[in-house]
Amino acid sequence: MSWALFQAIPSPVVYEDSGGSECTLKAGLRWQIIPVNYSFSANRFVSNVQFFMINPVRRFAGSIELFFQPEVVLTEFDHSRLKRFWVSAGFRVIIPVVNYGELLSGSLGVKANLQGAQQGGAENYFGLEAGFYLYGMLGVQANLNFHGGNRFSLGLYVKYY
Amino acid sequence: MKAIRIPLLIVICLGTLACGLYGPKNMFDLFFGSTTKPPIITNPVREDVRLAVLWAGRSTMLIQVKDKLILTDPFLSDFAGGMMRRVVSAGIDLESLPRLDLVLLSHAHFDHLCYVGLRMIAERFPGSTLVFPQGVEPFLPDVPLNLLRLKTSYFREGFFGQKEMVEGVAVTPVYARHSGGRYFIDSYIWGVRGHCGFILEYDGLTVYYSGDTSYDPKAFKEIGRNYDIDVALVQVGPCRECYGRGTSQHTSSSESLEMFLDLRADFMIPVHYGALPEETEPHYPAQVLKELIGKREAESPDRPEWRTPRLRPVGTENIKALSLQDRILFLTEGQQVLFR
Repeated sequence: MSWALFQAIPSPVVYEDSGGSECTLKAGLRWQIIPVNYSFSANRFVSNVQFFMINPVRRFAGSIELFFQPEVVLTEFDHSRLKRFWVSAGFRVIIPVVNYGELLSGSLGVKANLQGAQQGGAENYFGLEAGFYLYGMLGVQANLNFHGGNRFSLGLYVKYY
Repeated sequence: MKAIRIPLLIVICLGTLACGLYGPKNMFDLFFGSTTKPPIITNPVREDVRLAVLWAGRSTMLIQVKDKLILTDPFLSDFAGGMMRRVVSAGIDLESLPRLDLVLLSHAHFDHLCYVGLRMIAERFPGSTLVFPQGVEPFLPDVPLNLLRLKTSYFREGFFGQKEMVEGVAVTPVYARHSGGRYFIDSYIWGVRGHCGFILEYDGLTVYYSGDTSYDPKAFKEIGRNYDIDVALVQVGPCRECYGRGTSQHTSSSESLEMFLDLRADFMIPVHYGALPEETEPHYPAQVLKELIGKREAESPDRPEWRTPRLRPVGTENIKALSLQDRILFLTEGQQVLFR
């Protein structure tokens, strides 16, 4: 139950909202869900593969994972005319940097954003992602998207287990 | 700019929450505090003793039983989990050790399972054996050490876990009332298990290390009934009410004294205080313990029936009847006590 509540804690994000010559920033929220993680640094007593409830040590000590992120901006995109709610999903590799990754780990990932346009129709696009994390739980993530209306986003990463 | 107000507000809230939970003084010390260096013994391995204990600080001890070298909970970094600065550095230099037969890990909390320490051990003594109770394994990275997990059944079936011969030393995990986990809520809300004390037997000698524990009126008496303990390394604090009862996680100073009497060990070395500013000034639990020992000696001069010790700390050979004060040995970080 408490684990489920922790999954509900969103990560705050700032998104670009660009269209024509207009450009602004939009505040939004992103939820971090990890359906599956494969660790490269699991000791012989534990499994390399974890589902949903992810032990942080095996994650930050070096792993690859599939992630799924519902995202929302708090007010409508004014310029890009993208929809407020969307989901993204992709893969990321987590690389330990300091203390087996506990004090600092980094990540690189690719993701697909499944978003719609306000006028209707799909607006799907790919993006790249990079991040740095403390304890694998609190970090900063930057996204570079291949879409003219939402080229980048910068946000915190908050996820406990 | 409107868009960054909400994230900024959230960051400020998280920062305030961290200060609230962690304490503004600890936050300040983390970045601007200092850590003093204790004197380091350059040649801690002795040929002329049967038992020696070097207290490096907190729960890190180098135990030498004849030719065996055992290191407990190697917290060798100046920071606990990178979050809390030590007041005094670990008083041991791994380079001064010719070998390491065993490393004991009582649980996975930051001040016991130190990744910096593990890396140092793995680099200096690759392949050495790291012994830990079941439940710790999810918090161990894949370090190049010989990992040995001991079965405890989480002490649901009694006070003693699986005895194992490791490098010639009999190691038994024994009851401790504490919590496993590592990242706060897993320890204190979820109650993740994985903690213990240890009994070490080698060369006819028995050493007890408590790990972290709160007081239990039955468990330590039972351990004392089952083993003739020469030296008990007993956790003291942290405690705010050190004269009274401890917490659900740690003994107070008065409970540590009770523990020693329950264990019926010949000697006790108090540990776990000193390095970190937690509930009180780091050395406060030991100061209270000293005071309580003095009081108990004054109030109850009738001493319990002690066994004749198999060993004596060097320098006490001529004392005929050892008092409680003689039996509880306070060390400073980096200091070593020798037994013959």
